[in-house]
Amino acid sequence: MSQLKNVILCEDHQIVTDGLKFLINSFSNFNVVATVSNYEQLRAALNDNIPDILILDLNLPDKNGIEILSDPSIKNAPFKVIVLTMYNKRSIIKKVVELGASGFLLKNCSSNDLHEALNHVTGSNEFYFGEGVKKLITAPPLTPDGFYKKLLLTSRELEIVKHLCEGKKVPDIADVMFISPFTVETHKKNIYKKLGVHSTAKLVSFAHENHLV
Amino acid sequence: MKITWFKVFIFFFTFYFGVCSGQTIEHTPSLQINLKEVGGLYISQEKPTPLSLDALKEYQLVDDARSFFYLDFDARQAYINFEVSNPYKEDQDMVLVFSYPFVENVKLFQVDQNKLELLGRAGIFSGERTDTRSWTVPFTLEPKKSSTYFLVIEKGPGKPVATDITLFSKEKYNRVSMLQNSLIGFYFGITALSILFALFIFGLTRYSVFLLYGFYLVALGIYLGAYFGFTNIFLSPSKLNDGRTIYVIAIESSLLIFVLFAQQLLQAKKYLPKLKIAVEVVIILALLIFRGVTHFIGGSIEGSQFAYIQKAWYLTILFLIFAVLIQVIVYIRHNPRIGSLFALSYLFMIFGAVFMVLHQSIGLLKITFFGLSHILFAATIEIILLSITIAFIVGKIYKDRNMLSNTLLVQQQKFLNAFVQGQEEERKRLGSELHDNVGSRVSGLKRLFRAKHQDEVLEKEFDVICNEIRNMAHAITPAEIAMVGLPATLEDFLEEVEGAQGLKINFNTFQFPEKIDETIGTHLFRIVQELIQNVMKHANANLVNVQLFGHENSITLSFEDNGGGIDEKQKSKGFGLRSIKSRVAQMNGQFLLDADKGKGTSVLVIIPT
Repeated sequence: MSQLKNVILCEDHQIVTDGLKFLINSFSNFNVVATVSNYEQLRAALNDNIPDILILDLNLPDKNGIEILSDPSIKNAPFKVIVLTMYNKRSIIKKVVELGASGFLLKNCSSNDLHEALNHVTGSNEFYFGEGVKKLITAPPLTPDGFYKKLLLTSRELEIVKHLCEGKKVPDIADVMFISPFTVETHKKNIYKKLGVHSTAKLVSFAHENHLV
Repeated sequence: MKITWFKVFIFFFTFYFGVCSGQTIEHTPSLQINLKEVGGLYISQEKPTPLSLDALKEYQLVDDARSFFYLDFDARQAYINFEVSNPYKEDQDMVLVFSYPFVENVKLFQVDQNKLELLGRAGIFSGERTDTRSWTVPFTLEPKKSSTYFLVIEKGPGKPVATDITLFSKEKYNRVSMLQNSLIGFYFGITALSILFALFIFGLTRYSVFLLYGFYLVALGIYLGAYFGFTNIFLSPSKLNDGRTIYVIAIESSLLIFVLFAQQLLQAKKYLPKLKIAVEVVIILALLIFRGVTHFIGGSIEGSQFAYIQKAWYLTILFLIFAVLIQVIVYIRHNPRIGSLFALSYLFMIFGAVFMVLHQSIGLLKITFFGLSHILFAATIEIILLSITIAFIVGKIYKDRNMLSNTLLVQQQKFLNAFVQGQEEERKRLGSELHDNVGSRVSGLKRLFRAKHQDEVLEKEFDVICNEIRNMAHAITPAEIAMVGLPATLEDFLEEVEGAQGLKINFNTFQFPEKIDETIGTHLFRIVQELIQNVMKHANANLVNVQLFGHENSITLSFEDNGGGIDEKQKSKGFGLRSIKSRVAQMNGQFLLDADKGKGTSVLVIIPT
């Protein structure tokens, strides 16, 4: 029988807190030492005793969970954090992973899932994805100055690049494309930003180097 | 003006050397002389009798300092005699010209061996016909001879006659009448232009004030036309007296139409409603009583009674003039520029009308320029000023309309902004309520239930409900913008859409700032949502490019699809586009839409930071 692990619950709905507390206390090796319903109370509770595990809701009245996770005092704390939320969004899960949390549970998780999560984070440093939580797709790594992004010119942008390479000025391009000069100017600004160039000359040479025209 | 001064000079000159009956006038090629300056006027109140030199001697010389001939209500017959000599060896053509077009019966006699020899006749009852606008009696001076002439004027009772009688040499008459006709032509030209202008404006605006102005110009034109003798040309010789009726009706209707026109122009209904009613009642009564009386039993009443009626009529006119004057003053307070212009033209109108009455009916005054009554010049100036006033009023109407439509537009925009804002707040409230409150509670309920019962089916049902609530909440509000920022939120959203619709969506950000205002983030998210919805509904596209750019002083959202573009109808009508524009406006941003048919759609939203 391993050592009893202390858990703090940070959740602002009493009905959820009650259910979780009941469940966790029913697990033989976990014990809820405090239940808090906002960040302020959490700070106070953490001052009193450092738990082994913090179960954190992302929607809290005073500060949202992402902000709390970003807080250095939480980020660098020795305890593990399991996020418990209604959100099942890849962007949020990704953010939670980035911020160094240890697990992600949906609020309607089963008791097995909860128990497994608690056990998992106690013994492993690998991130725990709860039941039904979207797995992160590892996107193909993008080299910042590689072809990839540069070839992402849209058709409209490509058309403007072509006109610029032909030596046309903004008002002429506007005339040809039946759009306002300001629209052309905005596209041009976007293209510069996208390709990391700051002059038409650079743009033209880039376009030729990469066979855009 | 020159001629007037010249005439004044002549007047004093002749006065100085004594005016006496039968003074000899010597013919010169540029002879133009007012007969009133030459001889006295002899009047008889008897009915015309067979004329003879002896009979004429019974007439009484009238002591009259007027510069024109005035025969009052009761005079029936009058004469002037004068002598003209011809120092030349040739015959000389002369013309006697009457300024008043309704002289009734005038005869010119030459005294030959103590007998009256009729040289010519003129006037509406003379049986003669005239092809010029003025009545003229031409006659010829024999060479080297001096002759005495008697000009006999007959008139009916009850109608005063005021007329200039001018003796011209033929050449001088031709020159003067040409100048006069040009001036009259100018007047009618201005009138015609103004009538066209008034009708045009009426057609555009449908304001009755412009139509009334047109009627007024027509009535005034007829009145002046009659006054300058044109009825004598157009009417058949037996009906020349009708010219006088036309003249009277035209002068009165022009006055009444003017008053009605002024009521409208001066917005009397708005500023002085009671006075307006009084004016209208007086006009109706005046028309019914006075004109009814004078026109239908006019012939059978005595001069003195007629004068009473005439005075009552003048009193009515005086009331109307003052009523309009008060309206002008009140109106000027509200609209100084238009009011002053109208006041000025009104001044010319009153000036013309009052002097006309004084001259024609009472015989008090005469103002002529180039031998033409002041009324022509007063009316010309009045019409020019009125037309300018009307132009200003049209300008004001259009300015007011533009302002109104601008205000409407601004209000519409405000309404839409408030609507979008309210909608956003409502969604946020509903979304977080669903998500945080209802969702959390249901999940808690599930656990409480689980602790006490074992029921797989019900537990599954709880999960379904939880997922539904979550999805609904997400559909309603992108609450995670605050947590993970716009790019990540958009990425999630676009991924979902891509999966569901089989649409290829490229989403990229280029130095888009990590932290942006949540409101701006929400707006941009909604804009993308709206544009995606448009694509799915209308565009028939299979590729969408969504890009976020962070520039130095701005952030830019670029949205492109390869669909069919948006047609003009949708551009202006679609609520989606309007709400996008409203959102952009709320962020003080710019919305650039480039969506010609067949080109695909490109939207740029530029928000200053």
